[in-house]
Amino acid sequence: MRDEFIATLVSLAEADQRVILLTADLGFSVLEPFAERFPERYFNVGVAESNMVTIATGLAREGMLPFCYSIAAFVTMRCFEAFRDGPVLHDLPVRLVGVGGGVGYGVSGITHFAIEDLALMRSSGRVAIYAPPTSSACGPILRSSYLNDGPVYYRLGKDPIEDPRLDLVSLTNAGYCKLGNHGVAIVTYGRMASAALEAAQALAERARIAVQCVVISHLSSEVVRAALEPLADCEDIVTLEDHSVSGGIGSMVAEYLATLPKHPRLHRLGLGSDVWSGLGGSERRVLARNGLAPPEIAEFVRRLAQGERSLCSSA
Amino acid sequence: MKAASPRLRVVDPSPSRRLALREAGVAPDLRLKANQLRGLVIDVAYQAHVGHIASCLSIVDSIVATLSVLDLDRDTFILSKGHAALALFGGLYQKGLISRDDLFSYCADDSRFGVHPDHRVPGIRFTTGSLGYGLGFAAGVSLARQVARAPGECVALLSDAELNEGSTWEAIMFAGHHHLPLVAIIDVNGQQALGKTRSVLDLQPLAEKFVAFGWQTDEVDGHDPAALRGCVQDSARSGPRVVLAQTVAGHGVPFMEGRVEWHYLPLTEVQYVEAKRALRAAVP
Repeated sequence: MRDEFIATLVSLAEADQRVILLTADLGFSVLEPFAERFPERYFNVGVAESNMVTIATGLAREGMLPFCYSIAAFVTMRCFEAFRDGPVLHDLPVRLVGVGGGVGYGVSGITHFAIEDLALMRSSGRVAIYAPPTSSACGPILRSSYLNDGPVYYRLGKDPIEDPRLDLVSLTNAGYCKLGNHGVAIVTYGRMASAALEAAQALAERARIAVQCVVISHLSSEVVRAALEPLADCEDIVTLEDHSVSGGIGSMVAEYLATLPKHPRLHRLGLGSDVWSGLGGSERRVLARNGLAPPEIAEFVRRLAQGERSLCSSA
Repeated sequence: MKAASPRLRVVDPSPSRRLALREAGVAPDLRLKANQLRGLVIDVAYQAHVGHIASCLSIVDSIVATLSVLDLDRDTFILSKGHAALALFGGLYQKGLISRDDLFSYCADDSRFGVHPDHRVPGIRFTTGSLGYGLGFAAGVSLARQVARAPGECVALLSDAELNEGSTWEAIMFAGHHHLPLVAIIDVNGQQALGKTRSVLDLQPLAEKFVAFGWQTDEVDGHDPAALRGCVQDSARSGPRVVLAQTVAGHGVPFMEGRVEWHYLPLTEVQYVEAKRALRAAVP
């Protein structure tokens, strides 16, 4: 995912002299294509994420388009005030590029998990947030959003991921895509999209349970509303995310549904207390421990579909 | 140690230099402007019944000196110690960038002119308030001009207590490493919100710290606008430069000078009259 993002950034920088790439000393074997092609527009600021964002604010104030690259946890949490009092307050086109959103840095542990990043980034309502679900979605999503006037947060997965079932055109133009037309709806984003699709396929093949998947790539309340309007008659909506169940897509969907006179029942699946336990493991293992691997997702939806209404989500 | 470092310069406050500047008509003009600005700060703060007066009086001479050098259409001035915005608003008024009504709307309901500066005010490029960001903004501005080969000066004015913030040192390191042509003025009044800097978190030896980070360092009387202007204007030297402006919080109003409580207090009527009398008596 990172490689596709940087390859697209290189091609944008060829045509646009304003594109500048900053890193807080991360991106080994990822950023080299940009650094070698544009050494005069590539700056490693050192291990100083907050300073990176403040410098980017000054750069953007002078008309540049700075991209700030780091691990998602650092570039959102360490820098939060710098980002808020800098590009967000001044409405400047600074781009945060966070790699390993969720638990992508599995074995590195909780300090490297970005599980509150969406909550932070969406709270001002002034940051455009994009979470490409696959590697090949990175390029089109970056191309279509890089001229956005204000601040942007790109939440990227760490490892390559592909899923040909996803509609790239829809993801890029509408900010979401929908697969399936009836049954329990799963609303998700980023690297969890393929887990949702895998669970849906297993349910269809093994239990003849229909599931509709809504994959959101542009995490705004407007896109959430547009994506959810067709689901108003649905009985159950499950939100699925590699983020805390508070503040992410579960909260965004809840905020929308609460405005309706009558709405589907909401079940929020996300990262719970396990991530604070100190137990290690790969991204896959951490997700599975939190009920977020395809078999656990499928089992949850099966029980819902078969009428076990007393299910409670990990909230 | 100071004498041994080629990067550290104690700006000469010698009578002969002062005399030369006065003869050139520079110093009296700036001193008069500074005295007028102090009067404006007192008038506006009294009317608004708002504090931070001592912090404003501390930087008046730096504001007057810097704004006399910069063209704010092209150059950038960043007040990193945002809580002294009233002194900057007064300077912008003197420069004709904002109106008297703007200035006297300070801290009024629905005014753009609050305790801290807002980037939507003419002449102000960055909103500040949370300490420790101004120098990083300045580094970004300078870097952009370096990349684009664009002209323009960049000056940031910081409080000495802002050097408690790690983010300030991140920017100091960055500007030193990239040899960015910016100027930082540090308002070394030795005072912060809850006490003297030497008892809260001692900054000394300050000049040597900047020298160690690769900065050209001037130590100067921070209430001598002509000397301050000379430092800001010194285009012969390249790379980042710091002006350690030795100041007294509340300078010009004897009952405020060096007293921590004037970081907060608004003026009573009696104090207002006394402050104005002191400033009138000090007209150069």
